[in-house]
Amino acid sequence: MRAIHFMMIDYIKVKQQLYFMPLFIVIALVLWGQGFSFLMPFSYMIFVAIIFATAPFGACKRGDAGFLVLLPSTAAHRVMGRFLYGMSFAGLAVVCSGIFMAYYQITGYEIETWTVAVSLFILAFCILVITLEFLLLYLVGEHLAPQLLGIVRVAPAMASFFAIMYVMDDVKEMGNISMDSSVGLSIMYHMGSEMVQIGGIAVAAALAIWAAAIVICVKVTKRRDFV
Amino acid sequence: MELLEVKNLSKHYKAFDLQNINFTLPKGYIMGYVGPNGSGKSTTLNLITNICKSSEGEIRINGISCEEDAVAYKEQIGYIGDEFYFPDTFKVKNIRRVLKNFYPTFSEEKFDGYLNKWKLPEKKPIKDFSRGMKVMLMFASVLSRDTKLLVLDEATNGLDPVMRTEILELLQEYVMDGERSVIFSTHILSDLEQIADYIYFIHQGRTVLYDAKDELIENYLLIKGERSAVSGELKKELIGVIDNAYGFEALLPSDKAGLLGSDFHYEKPNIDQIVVHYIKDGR
Amino acid sequence: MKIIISNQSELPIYAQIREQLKEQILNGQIPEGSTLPSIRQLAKEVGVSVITTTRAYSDLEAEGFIASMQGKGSVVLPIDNSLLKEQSLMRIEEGLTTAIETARTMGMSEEELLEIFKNLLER
Repeated sequence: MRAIHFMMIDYIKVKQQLYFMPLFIVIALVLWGQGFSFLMPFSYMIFVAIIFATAPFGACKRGDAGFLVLLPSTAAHRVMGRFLYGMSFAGLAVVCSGIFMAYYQITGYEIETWTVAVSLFILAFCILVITLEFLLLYLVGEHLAPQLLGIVRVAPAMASFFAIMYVMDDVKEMGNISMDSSVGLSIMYHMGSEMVQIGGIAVAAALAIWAAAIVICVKVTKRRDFV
Repeated sequence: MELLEVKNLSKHYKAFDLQNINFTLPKGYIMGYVGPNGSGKSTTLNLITNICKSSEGEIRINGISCEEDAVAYKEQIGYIGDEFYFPDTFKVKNIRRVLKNFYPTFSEEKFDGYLNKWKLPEKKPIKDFSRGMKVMLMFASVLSRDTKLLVLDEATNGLDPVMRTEILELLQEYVMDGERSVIFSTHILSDLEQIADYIYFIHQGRTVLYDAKDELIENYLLIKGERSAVSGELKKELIGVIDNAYGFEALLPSDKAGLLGSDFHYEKPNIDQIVVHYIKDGR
Repeated sequence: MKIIISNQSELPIYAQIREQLKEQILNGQIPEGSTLPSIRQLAKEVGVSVITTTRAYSDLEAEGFIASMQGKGSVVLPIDNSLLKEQSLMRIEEGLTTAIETARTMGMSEEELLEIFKNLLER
């Protein structure tokens, strides 16, 4: 419960940035409306998630310690709250996409199995990127994180976005995939249902790494001075 | 009946060492933690609040250490720092929400009562508050729940005399029931001196003096006079001689008062004067 | 009951409180049997530390002016004249002892000291 309360503190800390969230969701919808594949808005949402996930690190200030560290809690509560906060945006991407998908199906379009598989891989990738960023930021330390973040905040998100775009370069229209597309996508296309399973395993693995990262970050933070 | 116990506390930094701090603060008393800037006051208080982790030693509040039970330990502390510690983007209502989430004893009525009493606006962004309002907001957040130990790190810096007096009264009211204690750090005691029961004086990370304030003041005399009148025997006993064009000023342990003839003027020192002369002495 | 603390005074704060209370008990401004404010209350009202007021009260108690009663606080005792006399005697002896000691450290002879004493008496 205390971890969830810390997650809420992170939301309040970055609320000014969060006001833009609906705008991003609208952009995702517009992208989709433009006739792009379902994967397009999804990877866009993932891109947004990766950017937002690290925001509270940028809002850390030395002086906050007197308030945050003094709240009756352990380092584990604080770190877990931050990780939950980060993961909540991946969750938002999934929920939004789920709503998109449901809407799509209701209106009579069929979602092809391979796109689900690809989405799962993108999700796993997203969790990994966020986890690695968090690990790095916690290793640097909460008090130094803002400086580091100032330099590299957008880089991982951009890199992820372009990587996804590169792989999907050939996918302009939904379901319109040819045999000379990138190898990975062809495999997805042809092995649909098995790939969904493997994608699921990938997400599970990413979550396991995420959990392990929490343990490491708690250990690091526990021994560290906040100021 | 000890509320705060600090045993063999040390903290090693690359450029600074806090060494072997030992004291106890009984329930219902106020301790002033004094020393010049950079002497280790904030470091000590940060160790007590667990913002920093000690290299060695032990800290207990009502017998509980932070390692044993961080939640119970921190619930007992009300901390007010020299820096304003609420995140910039917070509004008063956010603070109220978070306090409610974390502290079972937090009372919204009390909190709102303090906001009214000190005219702290609910709507104004807290980062635009004046220094005085910021300090009072921190006090409101701390006093609106049940704490056992107030930790004040240079909290009265930059406040006008009216507010300092108000805080003085707050602190005395806080220890009234004899169950709660206060430790405050400051580099100038001035008006806070009167209400302090104990003084811990630290310099360059080391303990210089630690005693009940009344004892400290009685143990020393502030001597003024002409340098030429100082006998060899007296000279050995003087602490931190400060010369000026027309004479000198120094501390003398009261039990050596017999060495003084009629050539000297002497009076009770205040704690700041004791601090100044000890630092001058380099002990 | 009134207490005025002076920072310029030679007397330590606890002694100022003690002396002022004593004076008011002796001249009847604080009547016998009345209850003094608690140590902590007095500390807050006067704006001094708890240890300071504790000491003032324990001095008054030792000198027989007040007694602390369980659950009732510090109560003013009837003024005992023999006690008062004894008190005064003690203080005279204390003062004289200090004078004699100072004289001895200065190497003053007994005659010189007596001379000073006589001069002072005649003043």
